[in-house]
Amino acid sequence: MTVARATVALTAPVGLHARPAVKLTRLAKRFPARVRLRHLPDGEPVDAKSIVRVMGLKLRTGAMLEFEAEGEGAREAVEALCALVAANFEDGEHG
Amino acid sequence: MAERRIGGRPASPGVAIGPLVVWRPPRRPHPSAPGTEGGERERFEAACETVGGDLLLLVGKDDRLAAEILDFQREFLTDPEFRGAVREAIGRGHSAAAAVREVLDGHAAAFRAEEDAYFRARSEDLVDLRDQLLAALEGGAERPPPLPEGAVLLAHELTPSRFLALDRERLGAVALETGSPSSHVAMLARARGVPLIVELGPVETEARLAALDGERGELFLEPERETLRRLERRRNRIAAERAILRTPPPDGFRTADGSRVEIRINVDDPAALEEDVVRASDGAGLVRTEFLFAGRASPPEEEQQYRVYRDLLLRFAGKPVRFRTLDAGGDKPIAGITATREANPFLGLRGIRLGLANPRLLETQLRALLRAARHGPLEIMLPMVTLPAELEEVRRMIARLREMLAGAGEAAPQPPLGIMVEVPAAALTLDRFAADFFSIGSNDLVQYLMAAARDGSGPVAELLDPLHPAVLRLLGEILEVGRRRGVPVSLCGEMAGDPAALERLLALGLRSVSVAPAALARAAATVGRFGTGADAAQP
Repeated sequence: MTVARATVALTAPVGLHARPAVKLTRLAKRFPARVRLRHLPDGEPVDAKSIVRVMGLKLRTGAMLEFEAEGEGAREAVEALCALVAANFEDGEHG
Repeated sequence: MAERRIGGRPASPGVAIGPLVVWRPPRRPHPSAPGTEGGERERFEAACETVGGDLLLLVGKDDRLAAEILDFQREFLTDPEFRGAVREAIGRGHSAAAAVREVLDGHAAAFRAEEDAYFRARSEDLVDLRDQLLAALEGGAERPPPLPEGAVLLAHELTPSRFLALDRERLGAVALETGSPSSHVAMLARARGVPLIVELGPVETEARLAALDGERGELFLEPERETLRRLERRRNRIAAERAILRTPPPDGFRTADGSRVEIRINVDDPAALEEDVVRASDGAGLVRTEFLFAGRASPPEEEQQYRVYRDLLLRFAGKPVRFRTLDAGGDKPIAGITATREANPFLGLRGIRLGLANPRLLETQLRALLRAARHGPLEIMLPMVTLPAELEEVRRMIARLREMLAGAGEAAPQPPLGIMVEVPAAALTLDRFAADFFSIGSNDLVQYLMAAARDGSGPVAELLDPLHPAVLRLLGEILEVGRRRGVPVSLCGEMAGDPAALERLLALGLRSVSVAPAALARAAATVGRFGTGADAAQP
């Protein structure tokens, strides 16, 4: 089973608020792999496709995140999600 | 029918006159006993479908805030975690409605407990989502009422989704019996320019026509001819001024002869700030940090202050934000901080005097400000400064704090440090103050100079004249010191919000003011007319 993992810093000035969190879960759902998100260094991994879980982390600017994906498209999922966070959730979509 | 005036709280400015529509959604029927487990699950799935479809219809064409609220609700609705929790509650013998209530109330409570105002606001979205699901499950789902052109809508309360379902083209204004100026509905109303007043209390009426004043928070039922005339005049003036906010001049506010004038806004409560005013302004010229301290048992922690300061800098997106350190005392007593038994609090332990007498309180605030300074152009302003030594003491305090922060790996930039010019002794010896900027606090300066209390009446109120020659002469001298020493001078009192007074200030050479958000458009219009020779002052 393919497992991919990568870390990225949350630099979006407002932190992981509703709008960015919705973008994140929607992107994660595009991949068949199971994707989990963890707040480093010692947070519990949560389902990155669940807005309940992702918002529940209450992540603020400066947090270090780790994505871990398992299964089909794992590597692509982790790369895409890290890119979204690194780009401060500005994926070209308006707003 | 005689005119009836009902007072509430302003939540979104503007004036509207139109037919009154009262929206009283029917009471929900008593919750039915749960059916079979499978049946309740099916009903829940069907309700999710219905609400999801309704939300989809509201999303799309709309502004950013609306999209944010609705997208969040939609994502929640399809979340396997949420669905699973509701199904599990149904499995424990709950009806679909009771299960939805239990799960969403739990999430809403968790958000409500958050310290960050943004996360806290999400609880409102979840309560809204809960109510939509309950309406779909239990019936009583109400379609919004049909609106005549320019309708003034009266309701007990309004959720974001109900507000967004209203016919936008025909909605003139909204009046709510409950509600709050910091709710999402209020933010949506401000973003769309729909006048809104809240907290009216119960209103029973058969009235057909209503007039609503969103600036003063007044609702008039069956308004008289005189009221209508007055509000129509205001409405026209506001419309003209609003145009300036929608399309602020690309190269900044300028007088008719082309001289640049900086117009910033005063911030009393960030939650009540409108986006278009923030966008049109040249920044914040006076952030009254008292809002952080008022109405609480103990002063806010450094971390909480830091977040509020940072968020405000981010909202102003690169424009300068001038924070005044806590100005308690005088007319702004704060429990546990200010002295209780002063015969003359305006001449007592207030402003920076209080800060220097409670260095821990001041240091906590300065540390939070210094840490926030890396998020944008932050300025620190000291209130009620009388002697240069007071300014110097704070400057040393800041140097010490910056050293400590750098030692802790949190190097902070050196923000400009300036003073309020409101004590006559300071105003008359301004050349002795090594400040990075001077900001004239005209309210107190006029009161102290004229020896006339700000809350006085009769002959005392008449003495409180910001255009008295003594005031104008002193203002001229302050501007002269600024020019000579190359120190920027601005004015942040009510004077700048009054067109006639602002003209005098411009004539004296002042080129930077800070006004209440509601006065920004008027100040911009006054500046734009200045220098044409036309009589600029208008009622």
